[in-house]
Amino acid sequence: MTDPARAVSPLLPEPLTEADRDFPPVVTKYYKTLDGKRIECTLCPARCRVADRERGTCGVRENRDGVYYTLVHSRVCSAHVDPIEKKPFFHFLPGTTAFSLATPGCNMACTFCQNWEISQFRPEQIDCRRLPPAQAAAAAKRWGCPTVTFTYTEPVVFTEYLLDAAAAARGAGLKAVSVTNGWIEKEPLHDWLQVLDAVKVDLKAFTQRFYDEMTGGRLIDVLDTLVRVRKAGVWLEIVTLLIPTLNDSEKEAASLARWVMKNLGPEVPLHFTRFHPQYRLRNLPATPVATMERARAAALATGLKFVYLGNIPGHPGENTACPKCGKVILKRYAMSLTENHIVGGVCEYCKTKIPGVWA
Amino acid sequence: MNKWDRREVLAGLAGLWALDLPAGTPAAGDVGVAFRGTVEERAAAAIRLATGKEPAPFFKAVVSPRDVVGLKLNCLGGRPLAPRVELVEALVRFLVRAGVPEERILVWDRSDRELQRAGFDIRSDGGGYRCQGTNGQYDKEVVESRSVGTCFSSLLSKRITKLINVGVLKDHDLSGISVGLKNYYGVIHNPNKYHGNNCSPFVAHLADHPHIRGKHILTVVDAEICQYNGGPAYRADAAVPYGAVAASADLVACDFWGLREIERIRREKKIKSLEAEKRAPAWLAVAGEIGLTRVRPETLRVADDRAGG
Repeated sequence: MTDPARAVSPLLPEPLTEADRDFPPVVTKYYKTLDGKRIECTLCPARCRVADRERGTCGVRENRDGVYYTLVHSRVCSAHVDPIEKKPFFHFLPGTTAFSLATPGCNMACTFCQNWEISQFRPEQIDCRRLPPAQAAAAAKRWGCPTVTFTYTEPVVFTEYLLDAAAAARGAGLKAVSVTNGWIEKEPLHDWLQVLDAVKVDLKAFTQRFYDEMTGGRLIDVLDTLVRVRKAGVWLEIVTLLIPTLNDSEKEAASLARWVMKNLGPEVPLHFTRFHPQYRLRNLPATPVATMERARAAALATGLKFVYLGNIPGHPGENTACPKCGKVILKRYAMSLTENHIVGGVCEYCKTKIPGVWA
Repeated sequence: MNKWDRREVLAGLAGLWALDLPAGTPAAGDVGVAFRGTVEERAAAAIRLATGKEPAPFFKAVVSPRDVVGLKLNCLGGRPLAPRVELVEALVRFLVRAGVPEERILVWDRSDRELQRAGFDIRSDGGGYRCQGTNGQYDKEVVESRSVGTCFSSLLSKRITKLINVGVLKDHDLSGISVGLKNYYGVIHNPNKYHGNNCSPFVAHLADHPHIRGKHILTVVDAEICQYNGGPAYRADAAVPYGAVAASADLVACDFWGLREIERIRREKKIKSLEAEKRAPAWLAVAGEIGLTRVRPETLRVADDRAGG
């Protein structure tokens, strides 16, 4: 495990920012050196070319004299105990809690971000606390959480911390999962998949136009991540936030679902969640429930077995039905599990094996 | 040229013509550039050449004693490539002579640390002008300025009523140059989100916000050196002595002038133009299209104090 205090470059005679004293920068391995002290970040497909004293689009990685640092190792801006259903993971230890962590920053700039006050700010602009990996695992145990979750902002930008904290969690007998936009390069993703037990990917939409206009990311890279996670055998769930007029057509939902069916298989859960006005996208209303239901029907019609609706408390689309006998085997209300009829990974009623991580 | 076309704007810069005025000539150019005398004398001359007025009368005409005047510095390059303390304090003295109480003058940048690295002392209270960083104090609400969505430094949005942009003459790896408008990336919380497409149209779109466009009264460029390549950080091997102070009451004119000078020196040094390196500041044409400037690059008048002396 990287000790951030030891990884501070000897090239730095003094801290360059006030916060460096509390949160020592850590040299990242995800970059290439260019001419004139410039570097190319190889962490995400944005592939930022960063001049000396500048940062990448994430705002949390900085070039100092041609060496690239992450400024957010162990620099936690949010830590909460949440139901795992809030992530949402519906097929991963249902009814348990997750010790949920975030550092500042994101490599996208979604206009509808619900956590923009931490994802779209630089680390020095936010009140943070130092939480080294071992302490994160210990805190999760203390709070009775079987899982440490990296979430709220974008774990891609704090990959070094994720890797160390996930390893610490596993070392403490816990599981580690990540909630991500999936915009990550192959090498760091490979590293993730060595230490994570599950990944939830926000597939923002199924058109590049949406990614261009609303996120700053690239659809094709996210699809590649989905395939790689699935192939690695790490548990995968997908969430798409349906936003009125922008990505909520029945046709797009069907196209997305067909792609999932073809490339990932019928057992990957797909969640459609309801948009509420946020951040820079306050001119649109909440997504009509009928629109959500049409999207779900279109996705189920492609053959996917588990298609959920989120942010509609009490809706039947929150529940898990056995794909064979049709009975509700996991009943939820909002973010809480209210009934569980899966025993030993199989349907209590018809004994059909249900895909997921249950213990 | 009726329409602002990026290529024509950049081509037009080659035709900039200088008003070779004798020292002390009060007639105004769009940009005043002064090489003679002390730093304070150069600052005064640059303002006089740009506005046709001595500094105190100029400021008296655009600032009231009730205003809080913010001087936004560009300190990223550290002491070698930041506005000098002597220049900033000369500007403070001009403002005081114009009737602005010293404690209503705020010298600022993104953080205390950056200011200190550039040689400034932090002065958040007591007598004299104020000098402090935003230090993470950004507005809680996001505001839109065309394609830019951001939270402004609360110092700018809540306190400052008149704005002086104090930049330097330097190349920028992404935006092509950082002379005038680009300095305003330092007043928002998320500048890194607007580095794509060589910062275009974002530099111009940000400056169109009333916090900037509505408050700007003067741009001053500390051109003691010109970093013609390798910016925005300081690189001794890509900087040359320049020895001037430039000023303009126009929001954009110093950028036109700065681009011309950086490109000229790049030609002298036999390195590729910014255009050839695919990082020409296309945002300058956007600035023209959206009316940030009354100046057109092909007719920009640069008043220089060296001629006739």
